Amino acid sequence: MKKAIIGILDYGAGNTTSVRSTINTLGFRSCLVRKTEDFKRLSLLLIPGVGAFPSAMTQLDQLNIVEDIKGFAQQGKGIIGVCLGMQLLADVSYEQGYTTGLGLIPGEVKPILKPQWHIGWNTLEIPHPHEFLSKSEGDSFYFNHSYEFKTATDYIAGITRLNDSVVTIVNKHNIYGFQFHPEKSQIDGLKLMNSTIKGLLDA
Amino acid sequence: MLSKRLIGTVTVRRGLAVQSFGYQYYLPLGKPECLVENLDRWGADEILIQDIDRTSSDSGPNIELIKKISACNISTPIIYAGGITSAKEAVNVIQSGAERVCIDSLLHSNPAEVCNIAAALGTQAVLASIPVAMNKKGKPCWYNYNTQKLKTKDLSLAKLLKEKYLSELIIIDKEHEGTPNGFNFNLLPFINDIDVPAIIFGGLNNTDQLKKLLIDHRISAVAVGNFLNYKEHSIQSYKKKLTSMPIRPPSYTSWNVI
Repeated sequence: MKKAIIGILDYGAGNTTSVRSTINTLGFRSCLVRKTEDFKRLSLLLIPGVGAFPSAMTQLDQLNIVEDIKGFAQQGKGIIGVCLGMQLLADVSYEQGYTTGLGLIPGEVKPILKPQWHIGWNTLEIPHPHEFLSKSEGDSFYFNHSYEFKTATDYIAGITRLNDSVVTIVNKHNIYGFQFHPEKSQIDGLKLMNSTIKGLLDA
Repeated sequence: MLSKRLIGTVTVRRGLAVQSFGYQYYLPLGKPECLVENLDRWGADEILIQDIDRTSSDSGPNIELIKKISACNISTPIIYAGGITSAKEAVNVIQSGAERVCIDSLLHSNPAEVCNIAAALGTQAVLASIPVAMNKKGKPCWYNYNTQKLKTKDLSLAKLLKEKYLSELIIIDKEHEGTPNGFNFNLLPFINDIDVPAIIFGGLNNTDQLKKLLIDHRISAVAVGNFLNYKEHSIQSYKKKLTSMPIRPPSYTSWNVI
């Protein structure tokens, strides 16, 4: 397990330092991923993200690694998107116009209507029993977003109550997206990150 | 349910964490990263770092400090305030380890740039720091540190709020900051017509004050500074006394759950 290498996508739109600290705290080896060659030695890819969707996609395009990410997913290797990194997994976003995403999990990213922001700590509900996510049912996580991932029920693995329910974990096969920041959610975040990484590496 | 937050505030001056009294007198506390580590271990909901002399010294945000704090493996979200004058600097702050940025002087000097910051980071990552004091007529007003004058109305701030370039306002009782039990509740009408959640800071140290603020639907968080440094586990102590409030329960880190 400890020989696995977790790649952290370093594309200029994420807080790689915090994510990497979390990964290292959990005892995994990690490296930053910036170019095609970096994907070869990875066991799992983590896509962090803070910021706006269009500029993040532009950064990925400029690094010319969109196809590498898609290819990595097709190999059946695990991918975890965090916050904006989860939203990038969608087909399209309407943030600041219309922008095509990675298209790894069917869905659209649209503004949260009321309230307009989801900022702070909120509890996670796991609607269907899940091998490792269910351990985090009822735990609190830190959210900081104003757009949400709209997707079909089949891909919803976690929700959170705001005015309506907000999709906060998406999943398709080996790909997971967390709308919250596990790396900034203290012990509950570490627990979820640990179980997800182990679950994906064991799969 | 979305919880309201208890924010731990670390005030930094000339690179050192300080106790501040009305932003006029200061006592040194030590290395900022040590205070941030404490607040992280004690389970603060967010940590606000206000680096108060970065604008006056024209130094820009203290990236070195943010990186140093980030390297301490902090698992609590960080809000950084201090010296941010451009979207480029704001992005740098986030990439160095903060989750959100707080704008202060730029609201007066170049409000248009705040729009660029929101475009680069997303509005949810942008807050504004609003020092407030009473004018001679007993009306709460926004204090401008650059001109040292109170403003009753400000069209540029109103525009930023209306067009949703700011996700929260940190309302600071500038006169009573650092004064035990000092917060002036007469300042609260300042947020009456503001359609953005408020974080209240300045002179908050007892749980009755905090309860009175936390039940107000306009207020999303309360921030405490000096008073967290007087004893160990102060965040948990406050939270234990606030369990009837819509706030996240006290957190006690245990590696056994992993």
